[in-house]
Amino acid sequence: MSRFGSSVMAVFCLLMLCAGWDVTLHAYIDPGSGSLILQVLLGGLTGVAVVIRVYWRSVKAHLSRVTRRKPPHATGE
Amino acid sequence: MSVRSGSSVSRVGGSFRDPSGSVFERDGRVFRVVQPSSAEHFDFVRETRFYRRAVEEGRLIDASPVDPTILGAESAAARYVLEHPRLPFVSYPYEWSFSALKEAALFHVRLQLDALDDGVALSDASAYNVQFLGGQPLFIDTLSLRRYREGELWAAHRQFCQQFLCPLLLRAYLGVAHNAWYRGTLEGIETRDLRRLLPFRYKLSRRVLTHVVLQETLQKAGARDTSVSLGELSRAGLPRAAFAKLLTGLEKWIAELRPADSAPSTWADYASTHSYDAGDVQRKRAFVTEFASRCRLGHVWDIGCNTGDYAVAALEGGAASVVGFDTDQDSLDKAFARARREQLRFLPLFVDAANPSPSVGWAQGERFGLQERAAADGILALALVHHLAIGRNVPLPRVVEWLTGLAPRGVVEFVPKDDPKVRALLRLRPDIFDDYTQEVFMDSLRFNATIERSVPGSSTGRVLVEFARP
Repeated sequence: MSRFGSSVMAVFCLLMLCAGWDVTLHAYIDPGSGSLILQVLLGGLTGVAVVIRVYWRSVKAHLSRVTRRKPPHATGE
Repeated sequence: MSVRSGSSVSRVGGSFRDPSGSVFERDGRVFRVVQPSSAEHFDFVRETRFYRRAVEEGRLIDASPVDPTILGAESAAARYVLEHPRLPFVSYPYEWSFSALKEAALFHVRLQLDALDDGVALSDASAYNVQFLGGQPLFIDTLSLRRYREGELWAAHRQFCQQFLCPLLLRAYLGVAHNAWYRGTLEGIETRDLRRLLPFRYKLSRRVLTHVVLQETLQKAGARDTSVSLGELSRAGLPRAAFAKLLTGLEKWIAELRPADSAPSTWADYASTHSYDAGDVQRKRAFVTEFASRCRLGHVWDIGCNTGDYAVAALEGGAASVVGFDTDQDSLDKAFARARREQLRFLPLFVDAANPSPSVGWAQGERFGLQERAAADGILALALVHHLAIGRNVPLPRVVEWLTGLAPRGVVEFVPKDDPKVRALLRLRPDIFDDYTQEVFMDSLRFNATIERSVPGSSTGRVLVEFARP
């Protein structure tokens, strides 16, 4: 695809993302999260951004769990 | 083969997973019910140029609308009932040779690419939706085709990897045939398992890294993180151009795959190393051709087909189609290449006569055993009996009973103990086969059928016998 075509596609994807257009999956089989995330990544920068956002959420959740947990030496012994 | 639901209508066992429609049989005819939920997609697809061309070119099974009441209660809620032509034999991916599975994979990808050009997509990537007429693949699930939505994800990518790609990689990279494993799982080989087996050097390749390693890593991550939602991923989507690039990348990769264990096997060279001379071969071929011609055979099973010499002889005699069974992968690959090259109605399959495909899957009625699936009009069992009776210790009378039960007529060859091939089988073991004699063979045949004719098959004492069941 030409650079122009890629740009058009990226803008299109971005618009889709902003508009929150839900592209439903017409399938009766389990697509598997690994395959779907992989395709989103292969789909381009928009997909990379989505995956980063999704994983950033889980990193934040993990960090907040760790910071909330008190270290053993801080129990006032 | 099917589950009976009325006086003469029965549901085909393997067609229950997709709620968009089911397949039924009535009086030997095959019908597909289109439910209202999928009618809109079917209406769209059948008006496309892709659909018409694919049917004309014989890549997609014909589907003619018929009277919707033909299936009675089974089609009461249906929008359409379609009739498909009946296939002479339904085969499964665990019976395909490497080359047949590769051909089916390439066919599937090409069909998707052509469909995509006309805004059509496939809802699954089941290898069972591809059937073979001889060496030519045919897509049989009309309702897998549906309207493509711009930017949608390829929901069947994982299934494609499992049912086509990983089984091919197993043989191409590790030299292990897919058949036994596939028959066990029915759904192919998971990327998780292949990833564990592949040596590190293969994982450095961009393609393996993407479709096997990365997919599996992301699968694990996705399973841990339950906040990953389908809606979120679907909104990001996969642009059409990226989808097409994904498919063409897979097509190029699969086209390059070759079996890692491609050294010539004992059997692939059988035609040039067997223990009888060219005159014997000619007589044997003529015997088979004459048998096929005189009996006006329709569908023939060639058990122990090797590279297909006698299947071709039967076709030359007028047989409508031949399915061959063998366990030698190289012979099967050669036979399949021959069937494609010469456009023969001959399909060679991986089937062990001592352990044929059983009925398996949901309620043991999803994929059917060899004998439940189809009936042969005639069989060929040439240079086979000694492998079962001596190689696998099946008593000779039971071998004959099984063979004569497969079809109403056939040609069976007896190979005596003096023959070099039998001597080779007995070289390292005591001869415990007192009943392995021509007399026992002929008596067993007479007990189960009538002997139509019998001629010497070779200078080493082989005998060719034609039988018919009363």
